[in-house]
Amino acid sequence: VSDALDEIFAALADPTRRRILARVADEGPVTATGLAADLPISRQAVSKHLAVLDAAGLVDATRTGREVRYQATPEHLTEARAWLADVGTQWDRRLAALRAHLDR
Amino acid sequence: MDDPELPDRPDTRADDRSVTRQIDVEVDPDELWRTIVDDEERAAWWGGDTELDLRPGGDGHATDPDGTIRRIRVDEVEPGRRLAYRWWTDDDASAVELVVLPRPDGSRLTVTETRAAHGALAPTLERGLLELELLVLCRVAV
Repeated sequence: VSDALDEIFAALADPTRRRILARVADEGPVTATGLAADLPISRQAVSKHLAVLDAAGLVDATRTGREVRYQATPEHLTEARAWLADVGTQWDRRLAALRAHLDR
Repeated sequence: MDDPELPDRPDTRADDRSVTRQIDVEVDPDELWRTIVDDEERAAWWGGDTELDLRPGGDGHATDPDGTIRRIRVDEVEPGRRLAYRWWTDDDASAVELVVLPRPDGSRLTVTETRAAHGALAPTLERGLLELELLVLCRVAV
């Protein structure tokens, strides 16, 4: 689980990748060529970013003949949020126990 | 009158890798500090076996009621005021900071837990994973 989260956080650390992910979510299914048309980077660079997003599970690639189309898969972002929610719940419980102990 | 269905307000202080919680209690800062750092005192409320060698570089562990055991390495200690440590399991690691401050009629404890980021990851990540998630979710939903 942790490795998957690390990949997600790493994938999202780059502003260009965040922009690409938003575009894929907006326009998907979309090809690297389609995305590169109005981004200030090459198709090859877009493909590399998409590969990182794909490895992190943030986008899903579908091959049709010679064409690869990408779609956003938001479930993994939700997983990253879930970690934060879990940790918050754990501290809520611990601090409630601490308070109850001090109130005795 | 509080609506029982009303959800808690989201914690807006937490950035995308850290969670902050705070409680105000009526004991003085020294007692609050002792209750946290003294092994016997802490064991009385933590809910599981826990031990801490309270000095920088000191080792320890803490067991949650669900059986999760975290190993601890103390990073910084300002006696009576601040404790910073890292703790981890086989598949997760984070940094925790506990700060005790005096209040007019007691003291305040602030806890911040921050998920470990690999290497040089993430100064830019500090801005809004949540916003991006909402953006992506909204667009996919349409």
